[in-house]
Amino acid sequence: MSTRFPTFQNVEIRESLLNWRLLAAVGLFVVLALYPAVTGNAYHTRLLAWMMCFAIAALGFNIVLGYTGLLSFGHAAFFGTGMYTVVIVMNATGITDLLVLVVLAMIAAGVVGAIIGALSVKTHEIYFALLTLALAQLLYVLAVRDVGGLTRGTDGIGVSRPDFFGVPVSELSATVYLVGFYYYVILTFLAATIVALWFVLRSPFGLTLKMIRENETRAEMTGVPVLRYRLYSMILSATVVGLGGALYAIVVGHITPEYLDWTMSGEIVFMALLGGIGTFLGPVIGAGGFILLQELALAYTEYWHFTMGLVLFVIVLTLREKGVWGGVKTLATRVADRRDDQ
Amino acid sequence: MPIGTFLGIAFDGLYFAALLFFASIGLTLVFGILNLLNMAHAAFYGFGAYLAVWTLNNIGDVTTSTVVLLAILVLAIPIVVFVLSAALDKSVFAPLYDIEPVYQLLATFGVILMLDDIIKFIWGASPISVDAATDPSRQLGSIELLGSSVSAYRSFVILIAVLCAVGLYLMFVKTKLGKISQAMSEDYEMVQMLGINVNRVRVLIFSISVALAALGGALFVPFAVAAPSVTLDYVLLSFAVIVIGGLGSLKGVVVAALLIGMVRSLGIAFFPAIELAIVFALMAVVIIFRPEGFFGHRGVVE
Repeated sequence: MSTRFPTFQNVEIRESLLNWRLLAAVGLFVVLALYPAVTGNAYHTRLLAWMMCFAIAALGFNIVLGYTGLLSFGHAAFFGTGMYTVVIVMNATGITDLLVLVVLAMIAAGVVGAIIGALSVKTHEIYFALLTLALAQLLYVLAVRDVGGLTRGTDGIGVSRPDFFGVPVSELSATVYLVGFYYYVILTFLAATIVALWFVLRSPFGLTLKMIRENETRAEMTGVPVLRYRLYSMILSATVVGLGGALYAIVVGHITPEYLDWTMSGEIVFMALLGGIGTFLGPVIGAGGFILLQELALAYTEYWHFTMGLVLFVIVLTLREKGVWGGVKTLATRVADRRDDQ
Repeated sequence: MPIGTFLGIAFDGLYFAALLFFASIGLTLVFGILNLLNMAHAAFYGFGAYLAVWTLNNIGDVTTSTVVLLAILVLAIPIVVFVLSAALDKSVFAPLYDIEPVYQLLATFGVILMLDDIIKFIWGASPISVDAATDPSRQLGSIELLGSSVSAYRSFVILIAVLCAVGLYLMFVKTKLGKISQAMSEDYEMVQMLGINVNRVRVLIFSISVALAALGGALFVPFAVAAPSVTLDYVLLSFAVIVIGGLGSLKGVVVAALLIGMVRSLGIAFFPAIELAIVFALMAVVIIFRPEGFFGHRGVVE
């Protein structure tokens, strides 16, 4: 793939464990954890929960774009599969345990990822983008027309609140459920996803993905089974995105095929790009920024699409793979360098 | 099945193919000649549709003559959009020509979002449709064709599509602009080196391409409403057409538009639940087994 993204700084894990970045991350999580308890603001809590679900999805998406160098325009398929699995399994089998549902959703999304991945990893660049788009849209059309009788078409399906290890938390009112319990579930999953991916992407596996992104031919020559690694990357990515979808299904409480549509894929791409696809944490910042921007734009104008489109356009032309987070990092380095010079 | 029904399906397929041709021909030309993958192309199809409804509904007080109405659709709207897109090419699209296709896709996705809201700002979010008094398809009525009655207006649309396809072919084969365009699709820098103003050719090709999309949108509305979903539907359909036909091929667009038009028409008649699914499945199968499409990796008119 000729599209080049910059190399990631290859910091030793031990060194990086004790630097300011880790402290900042832990600090941010403490703030996030305390926020609903201290303010008790249900609207803000809901917004944060929403951001965190998409942060997980954008992180998962960036495994394919940022690390493996493939632009997928079909990740709505995995997000939507995660969402639909939760509600379909809950309604069909009567399983109401949150963790079981989430794990099943991740498996289902992983299977869809394996199928779409197996069909598309041989293609390159725009063909990969267009093929993932076509396959995901196929799923969307089947969901809209309710083929198989699972999705109830455009009417969508309502989601009831799941329990937790036999504790009947679903009996709480919707607001208490979110602010007092579910918010923390999402926060825990986000933290777990960040830590897990941090290690996975710095393992030999993650480095191999980057190698494929940087120079596919060289990777092939050194004996890396490129296609198989691309497939692994798709499956991992789909599983993480499915997790985001499954968690989000319970936040919104109502699922429609819109979540499988290509504009949804576009939003996930947008989030990752906004934050910076060449950085590890960029997608998290991007998801938060995207939703914040959307809420702000909606508050002042009904034409929020225009605002978002303009932001996307400017980001692509100026910051590219660095995104907002990479831009901030570059700026910080430059300021630090200047201070050293003096 | 009676032969009349079958002819009806074939006719609908041809009409749909004509619309797909307009929506996708510019997309493939801009990609083939100028190396720009413009996701926002179909937004101009949607824009043409809105502009047509608005113009037809406002012209009613002045005239309801069928010839004038058809001239508005076929000439006035494409010319307006031609001028507008020349300005856009110089401003919004100019920086996109030098970046990688993947980023072009993302930046033009941003352009779709912007155009989407500009349309909503001008014409509102709810669908609008042509008034009965100025609807050329009602005025023209239907004609007898091989023993079955078909819409005269739809026949007119098919005729215009055929004329445009032939016109484009002749332009590429006979005119200087066409020759230069073909050379540019082969080697952009070499053409520049020969002292040809490639920027002027670029603006012309881009504007012709966008105007053709707007023409398609304008011809589309007497039989359908102008709604924000038109753009989003046609983004996907036009990508399906150019991928199946082969990116950058005029012949490919014609063949793929006919194929998808017929598939959809047959699908609506026999498998209404999965008619669109067939289109996307077809697109996926082509990319998997023949990524270059039917006529890809060749010149524009080969």
